[in-house]
Amino acid sequence: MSTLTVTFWGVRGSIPVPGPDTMKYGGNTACLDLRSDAGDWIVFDAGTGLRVLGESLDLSKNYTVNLCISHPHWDHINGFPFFPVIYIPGNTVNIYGPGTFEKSLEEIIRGQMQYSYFPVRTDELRASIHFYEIKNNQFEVGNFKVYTHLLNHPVTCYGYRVVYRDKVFIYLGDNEPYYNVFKDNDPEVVQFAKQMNEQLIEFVKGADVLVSDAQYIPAEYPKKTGWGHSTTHHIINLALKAKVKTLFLFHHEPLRKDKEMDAIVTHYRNVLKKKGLTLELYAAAERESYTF
Amino acid sequence: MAQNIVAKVKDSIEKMPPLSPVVHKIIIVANDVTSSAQHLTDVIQLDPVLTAKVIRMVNSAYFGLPQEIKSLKQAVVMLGINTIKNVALSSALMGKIALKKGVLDPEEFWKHSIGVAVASKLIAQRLGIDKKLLEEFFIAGLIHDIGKVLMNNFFPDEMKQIIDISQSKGGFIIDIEKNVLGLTHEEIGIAIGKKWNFENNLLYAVGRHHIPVLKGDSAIYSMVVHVADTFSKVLKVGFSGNYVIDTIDEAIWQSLGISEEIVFEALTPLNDEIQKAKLFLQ
Repeated sequence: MSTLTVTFWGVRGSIPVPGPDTMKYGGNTACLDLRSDAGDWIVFDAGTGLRVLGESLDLSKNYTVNLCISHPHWDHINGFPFFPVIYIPGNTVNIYGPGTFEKSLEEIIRGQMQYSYFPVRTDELRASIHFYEIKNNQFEVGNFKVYTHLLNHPVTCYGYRVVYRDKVFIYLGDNEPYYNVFKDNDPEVVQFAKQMNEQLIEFVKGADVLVSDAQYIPAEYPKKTGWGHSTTHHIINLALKAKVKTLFLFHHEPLRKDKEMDAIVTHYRNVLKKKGLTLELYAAAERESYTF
Repeated sequence: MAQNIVAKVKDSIEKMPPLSPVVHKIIIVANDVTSSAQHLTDVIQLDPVLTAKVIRMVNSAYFGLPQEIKSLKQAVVMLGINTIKNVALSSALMGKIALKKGVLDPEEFWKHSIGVAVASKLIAQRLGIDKKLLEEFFIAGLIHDIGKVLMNNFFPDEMKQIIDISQSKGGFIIDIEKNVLGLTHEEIGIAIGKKWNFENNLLYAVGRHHIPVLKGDSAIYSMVVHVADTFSKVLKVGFSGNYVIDTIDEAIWQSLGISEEIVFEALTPLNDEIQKAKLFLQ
């Protein structure tokens, strides 16, 4: 039987929040990786967790890293300059991700390493760096078949579906359910938003593991509508509708303390149990792995 | 004879369709960070042709969306207000440099216009100009040859003669135009710009991009578009019927406080930007 292992290197949204209240789940921003039993390897997002991943590697060896960026907001790219692999000759880093209407993926990554922001420019990196701009499409990384899906966020953002033999893994970076931004009850727009949300259910359908942005709890959402993030409710409902086996809440709200996170997980596990639902639920924690 | 042609050109300028007031409104909405989804769609929808163009662009290969977008509101729900603002702005202006198939190759001319637009913005950025004004430099570059659109579309024989002379004998393009047509593409551009109520900054870009003005509030537009135009020709970005490349006077470099090397460096992303824009044509 084939197996996959997902490891979380950074689980926080928006900004790193190291400190006594985030010791259990971690304070680094978005980064996780997926490894197959055949040695296939993808890294998702390059938040500050990417530095932690870099520390875990034996840097005397050469690597080919396939890095899939969900979108180019800071909490998903600014660990990149601190990833030691990029400074070592003989290494290759393939960066997949979306550009925006205004800038290409390469310009964005280069942009954060301009001399005003960072002392080393991308031209000075010693590893071989390649950029692959994605749209709604599919590509292959070793034995992994990777499918992409456009998500609702203030900047172009893609979710990834990885199929490996009989296993399906899904990573949804920042994502908010579509809704009628005009708030005018126009049936055409309401229907359109509904249809887009149904397409996401299709994309997620049958996943063994889903890792998804669930930054807010429902009580916080009214003030944060339009910020491009989901609530715990949104994502648990998505997982249930798509018949997902295991769900990891991810991209935790920076103000969320460990104790509050524990309470959220306990609350939903109780609800699921009471309703006789078999969805396995976790809150992603830094440096923890899950094999399936 | 020359007088007769001049009168005909002036008559053609008069008959040019007016610039839709929607374009001015789009520029205002696009530059206003607080404009709402409703406000944006209200403005775009004032112009049905523009609405259709925005939807066409959203459905172009560039975005590669999984399904067809059928309305402006769907586009805003799917891609967000900021992207649609920029799409609408590009779309509104792109229509103004539409060339009929005639003497000039429409695709090459379009590429030249986009090239000068992107280059003007990149140079303005390098000069440290206020971010809010960068789009105006893009627009200035995009429409700098608007006079040639009229020449090509309404006076193809004279346009061909001008290009033939430029190719075979060389010489300053505006001198050749003056001899053949009695008016230059800069003079025609100014007349169109005035009809469309362009601000002075744009009038200087349209009317003085070959011999730039060095002093006054709008001189910077004239100089930046001149440099962008010249470099686009040196870098062979598209073709606008001009076989002779202007030289940039030392006084312009001094006035701008930059050098040829700095401009080359600032223009590094030029081709990528043009490629991106080209996708909209597909």
